Amino acid sequence: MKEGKTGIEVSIAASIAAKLARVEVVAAYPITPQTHIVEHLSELVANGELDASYVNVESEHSAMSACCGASAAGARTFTSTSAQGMELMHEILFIASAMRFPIVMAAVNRALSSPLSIWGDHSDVMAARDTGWIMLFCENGQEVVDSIIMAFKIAEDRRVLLPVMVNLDGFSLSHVIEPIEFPSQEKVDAFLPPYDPLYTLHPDKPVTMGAYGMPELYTEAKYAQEMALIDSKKVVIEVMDDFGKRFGRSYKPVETYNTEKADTVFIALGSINENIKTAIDMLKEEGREVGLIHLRLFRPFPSDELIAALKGVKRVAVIERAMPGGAMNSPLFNEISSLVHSNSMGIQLNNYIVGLGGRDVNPEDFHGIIDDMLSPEAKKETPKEEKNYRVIGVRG
Amino acid sequence: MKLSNFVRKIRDVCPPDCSACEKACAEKMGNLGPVINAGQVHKAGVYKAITCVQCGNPACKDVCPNDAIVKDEESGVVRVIQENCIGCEACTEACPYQNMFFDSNAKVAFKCDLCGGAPECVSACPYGALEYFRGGTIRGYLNDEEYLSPGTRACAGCPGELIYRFSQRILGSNTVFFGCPGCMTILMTGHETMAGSRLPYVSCLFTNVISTMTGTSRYYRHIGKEANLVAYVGDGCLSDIEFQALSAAAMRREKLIVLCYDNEGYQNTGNQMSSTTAFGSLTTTSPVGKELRGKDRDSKYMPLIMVAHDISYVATASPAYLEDYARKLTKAMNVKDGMSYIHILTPCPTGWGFPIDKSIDVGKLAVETNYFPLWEYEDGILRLTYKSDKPQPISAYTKLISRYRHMNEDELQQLQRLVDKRFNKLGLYSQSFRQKEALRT
Repeated sequence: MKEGKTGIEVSIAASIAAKLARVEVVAAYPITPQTHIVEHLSELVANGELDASYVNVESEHSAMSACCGASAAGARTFTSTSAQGMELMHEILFIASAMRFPIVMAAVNRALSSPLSIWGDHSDVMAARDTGWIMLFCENGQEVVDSIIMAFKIAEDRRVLLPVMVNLDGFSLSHVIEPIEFPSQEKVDAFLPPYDPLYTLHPDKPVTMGAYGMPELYTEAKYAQEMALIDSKKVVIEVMDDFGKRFGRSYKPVETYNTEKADTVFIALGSINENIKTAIDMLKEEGREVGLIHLRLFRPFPSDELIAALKGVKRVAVIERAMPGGAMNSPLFNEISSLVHSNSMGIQLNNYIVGLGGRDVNPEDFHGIIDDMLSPEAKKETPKEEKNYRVIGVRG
Repeated sequence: MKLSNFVRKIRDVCPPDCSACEKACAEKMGNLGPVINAGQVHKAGVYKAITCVQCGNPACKDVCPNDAIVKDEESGVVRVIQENCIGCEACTEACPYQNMFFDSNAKVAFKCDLCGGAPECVSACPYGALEYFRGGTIRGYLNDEEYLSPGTRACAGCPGELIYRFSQRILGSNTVFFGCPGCMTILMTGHETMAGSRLPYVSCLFTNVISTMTGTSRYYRHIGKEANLVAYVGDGCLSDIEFQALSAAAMRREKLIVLCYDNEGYQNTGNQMSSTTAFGSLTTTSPVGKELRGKDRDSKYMPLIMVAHDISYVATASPAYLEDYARKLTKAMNVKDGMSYIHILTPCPTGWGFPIDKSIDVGKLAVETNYFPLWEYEDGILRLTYKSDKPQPISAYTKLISRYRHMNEDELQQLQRLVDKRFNKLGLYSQSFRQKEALRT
């Protein structure tokens, strides 16, 4: 890989990141828009460029299962999926986190059928948000590459031992060509030493994995797992800081854009944040100051960092690419709302659903959202309707 | 493990006044007196040893201060060398089965020596109640070590437990077991912080045992580790919910040993119908009522489906034919690459409804009626490993089991036709395979 930036499709870059992390077992099943990641990984294995075992499983259910079996034996393990694939592996996502397997998965976010849609939104990951995985969201291709490398370091830390999902938006991020800088293998090796598992599956040292949890033990086991997930934030920050020092690109669980002067901010996940930044720049030209809080870490939920970022903010528009499914609000809004109200922050919160099933979201849409937030109707503190959100651009 | 042959009771048919076995023994033993007690034979359960079990590591031999007791390597017989016996009676004390005797006149110990390989008691029995059991050949397959934790939480009479323990003894310590929620989980997983056995074990989901094993197998291959990766799972798992993953792993030639304990239903959840439940069977989801009389279709015949995948080794087995199973599992272990699949019919006293001491009889009749033929498939050849000389009608099998009790003559005939059809199909398979082989050679 040459020095400096290379123009490359983000999916291919994601598989190169997995290669730089020296993954040992990859088990994956093809699904649009994840395909280019697994195709390129198969190529790397087939050409002998990546010394790994590639398992052509027959389903995502088996993909995640094989990852669990490999991780149990001590392998550095990687997979990738989208949409229905993530739903099909749903029950195994719980196994991976509860059995503390540090698997890394690139989740190429896509809408769930039906109606059949292969295009991007966050329905898939939002349905998997409580599976006990650490979840990172990426805004651009560089962040995808860096996040995958960081993900292994976070996952395999003895204080963590949890799987990490690196989310990147289907098509709008996965299929675009971006200028990306790849770290050298030597630097990655120095940053990410070989995985040293705490327990492995081998006849030399027999262990039982996944034993019964009787009512006397189950709560404690789940509590311990939950605490590990919550405490992992510390490691996430450490790893991001270390990465910044070594590679010159620093990341934080929560980042802000133009929030210094603005008392109205957007909060969103993923690549849509780049569109929001464009909209913010356009609004600035009109003399309106609006900010963005970009959540890079979604699980564990970075409450302290958000409280700090929300200081001085009066209005928040929570932008989400998933339907609430009968709830009053969408998932991310509920988290923000819980944080704001339990800390009596007195912030006006509004919830907007956008970009479902790959629908374009333009800067003008964000202008409209700001106007909506400032309208007298939106200021009402207590929602009177069961539907406490607006779906932008919906017809009928 | 040393060889061990012994005399055992195989039929519970002794009339109260018969003592033919004891008389024959007394005649053979002469002055010393008999080493078999007719009264105890009458009381003994089926398949119990009724004279000396010729222990692998005899306690009598261990305590003898004068090396007067030896175990014959060839025959497995534990023998008293009377010239060396000093009459201390330590051996009679040490024998846990009270099968060492003492002649107080001659001051020597004596015991059953199996009459040099043709026990008189067996041939004297007019009812065929006794058998000279050549356990030695089975023992030859077993490791000395017992891996299963003491005690069992399986239902009384469960042959699934027998097969699990037996399989562990054959496979040895270089083995990792994989299982899923089901009958055998309670043995395999252990309880709270206690392990089910001294072998490593992964408790997978009902849906992902084979796919989880695939990951482990691939990583082992990647780092050059060799071990037996063994699934011990039921018919509900493999023939129903896990079928897709099994089929795919078979296609990929994953190096795994898959043992299916087929108790013909979801027995752990209380006898619901599975794909391998036989025609006519009463289960809690194929009840007998006005419209439906038990399962209304034939079972899915998993082992032949695995043959269609052309994996390295496929076999059927039964806990009533342990030597046959031991040989097959040993073959599966020695497969160099690819999958081995052994389908074991494990009759379920709880779900099927038969007395807890009849599991082996039921298993035997399943084979003797051709309901569950024993065969193996390797290198493109299918071969029956046991053929009944005179197959019994299916009613001989069904009458033992209460899940078939409602079946009328027509229904039984229908089941008989299904049994015959499957057996004939197997015959054709093995014949055509034989012809193919003949053509090749």
